[in-house]
Amino acid sequence: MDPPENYTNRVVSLTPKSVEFMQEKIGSWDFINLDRIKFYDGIRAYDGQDNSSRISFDGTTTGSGVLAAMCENINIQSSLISKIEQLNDEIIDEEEDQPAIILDNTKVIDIEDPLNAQHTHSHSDLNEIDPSAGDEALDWPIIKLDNGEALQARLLVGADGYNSPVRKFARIESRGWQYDRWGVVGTIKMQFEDYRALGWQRFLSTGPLAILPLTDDNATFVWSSTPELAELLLKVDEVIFPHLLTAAMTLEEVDLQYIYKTLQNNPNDRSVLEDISWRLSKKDISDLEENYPLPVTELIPGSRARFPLKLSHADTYMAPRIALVGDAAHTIHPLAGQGLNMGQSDVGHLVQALEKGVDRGMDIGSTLVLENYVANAWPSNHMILGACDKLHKIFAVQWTPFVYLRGFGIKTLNSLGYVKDLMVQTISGK
Amino acid sequence: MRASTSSRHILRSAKNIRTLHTTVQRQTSLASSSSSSTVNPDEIAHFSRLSAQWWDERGEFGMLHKMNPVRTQFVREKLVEMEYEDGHEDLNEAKVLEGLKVLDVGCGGGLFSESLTRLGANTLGIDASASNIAIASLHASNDPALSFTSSSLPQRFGSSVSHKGKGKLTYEHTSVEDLLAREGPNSFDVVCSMEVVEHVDNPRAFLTSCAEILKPGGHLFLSTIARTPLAYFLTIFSAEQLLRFVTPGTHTWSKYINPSELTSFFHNLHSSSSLSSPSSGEIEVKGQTMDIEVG
Repeated sequence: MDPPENYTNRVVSLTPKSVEFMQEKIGSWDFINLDRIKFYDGIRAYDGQDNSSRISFDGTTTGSGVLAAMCENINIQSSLISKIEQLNDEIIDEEEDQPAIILDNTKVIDIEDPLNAQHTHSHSDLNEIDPSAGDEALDWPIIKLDNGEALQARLLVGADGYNSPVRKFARIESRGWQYDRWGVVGTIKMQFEDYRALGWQRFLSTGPLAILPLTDDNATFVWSSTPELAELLLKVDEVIFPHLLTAAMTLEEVDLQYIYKTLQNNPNDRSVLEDISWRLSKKDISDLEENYPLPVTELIPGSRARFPLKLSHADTYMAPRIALVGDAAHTIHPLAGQGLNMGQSDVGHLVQALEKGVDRGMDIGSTLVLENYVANAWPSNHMILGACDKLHKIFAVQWTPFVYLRGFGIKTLNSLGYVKDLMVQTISGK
Repeated sequence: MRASTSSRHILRSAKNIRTLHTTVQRQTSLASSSSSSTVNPDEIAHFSRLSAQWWDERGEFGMLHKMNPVRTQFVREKLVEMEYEDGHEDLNEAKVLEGLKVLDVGCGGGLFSESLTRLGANTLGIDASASNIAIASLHASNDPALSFTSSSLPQRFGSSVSHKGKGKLTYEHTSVEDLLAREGPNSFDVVCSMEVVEHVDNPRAFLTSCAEILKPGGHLFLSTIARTPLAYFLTIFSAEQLLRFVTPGTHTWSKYINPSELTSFFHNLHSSSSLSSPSSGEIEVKGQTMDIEVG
């Protein structure tokens, strides 16, 4: 299947560790469409209230020379489906085990604990073995589907997102808060392909704005903003929007406030275009070329979307016969591009725990197996969640003395190579 | 967190039991004349009272739940090691237990028997406590993957062909002596008795039966608690008396056996046999002390 011509707006940044996981462990990377992967070498981050306070992260410390890879969700999804098909073909050849079954266009309508259920169910077991033997009902959770079927599972893995029904079924508490911010995303084209292969991030007081490279002259942006600003960003005329992005990466915050105000009165007011180019013209050209992303020239029509930003972390990722992975276990501010990578790391740890359990003849739904997963996955996730939360909060402050202090901190950090290397290694999962 | 040694366990594997096997046959009359069963009624009453708690991973037998994966891994690794020593280089390590007839003597709630079965062994778990067997059977019947057969009707073990790649699990309320009398010697590829020998009367007779029911060239795995001050402190003073993790009376200090005692027992069996039958094969006794990592 050929990918759509324009980039889809659901894009993620894959760390070298995640790529390695897909290559070595899952083996799905063989099926990835490499024409739609953009490896980039570093990030240039700067303060919205003090453009000279900058920090750069480079991939040289990860050993590969690459900081991360930009990849569409749809690319990952189709590579995984191809991998499952390949594995199923092998299983059929060997006449062992059972192939993986994918049920699409099917919803889970209910999850039941058979020991607490009021009624008896006619259910089919995942292993297709009659579970009716025994004096006691099987304690495996029953998953009822909207097509009338029911499945009973030794281990139910909840990869079912922020509102995880599996997590609710298991009565696992999840703690966190809404940031009162929205993430606005979209696909754009830059003036031309940038040989620098860099991501750019500016910490505005309304939230960080990032432009990340895709192949050729394509790029994607994530603009964390207040609810009012997010609403405006979705409404702004598609011709004006690219210039607004360039302005937001470059101009002073007071200039931006003025432009926002004009657009709030009329999101199609093209006089803003002249205003922006006049303000940009006062900037030093060599500084612009060196320290800022290329001008944005085009917004792919209809590619803008928004989602609420929140932080949450489940108290644990397991219950008897239950494991949680990905957003069901934790949601994170997108500013460091860690969400999907944390999910991949969860899966890696879970698989490791299950392999160990199988090796030792254990019941893989037992908490004795799953506690290994939680012990390995939870603490590092908690650290990344905390770090990203603190970054968000530090840059949301506009109080001038603090801005100077912050600038001093960033410049100091930027000059401390080893601390920075440590941060890059943590973020890139190395 | 790494806690210290919970108990000193010795796990041993006896290789090429051919000699031991002949020895044991000669001694059978002696063993059976002295005592028909090594089962201690007080011990059985004690464990029967606790049987409902076998599968509570955080309860009375929590430490066994933590140890069980380690024991299973040890057995698998040793079998793999032996297969390589015997020159089977094209071995599929994951399937080393597949199709083997394994006896778990003193299976309790069936923790170890279930693990062996998942690794492909055709397992018979026996226990002198009827309530242990009831709990073990109930638990196994709740896992469809175990192809568990109830032994409420006495049946010849291993008579039916098992599902390809999957072990069959059977439980029976009996003692190793009675099983030996019924099935005869040379019946099992692997015999395991984990944390049992410290609970029986007349361990010599018990161990002799365990060795005798084993096929020539089979493997005998034993684990127990060594009679060291540390083991007393951890398993009796701390676990039973101080912290009450374990019901007081579970362990008896004087019944603990040291690795050297077990090793010399099997060496004596061996040497008495080589005196009487010089043509017999070799027996290899390997003792190993394990520190169990907790938490």
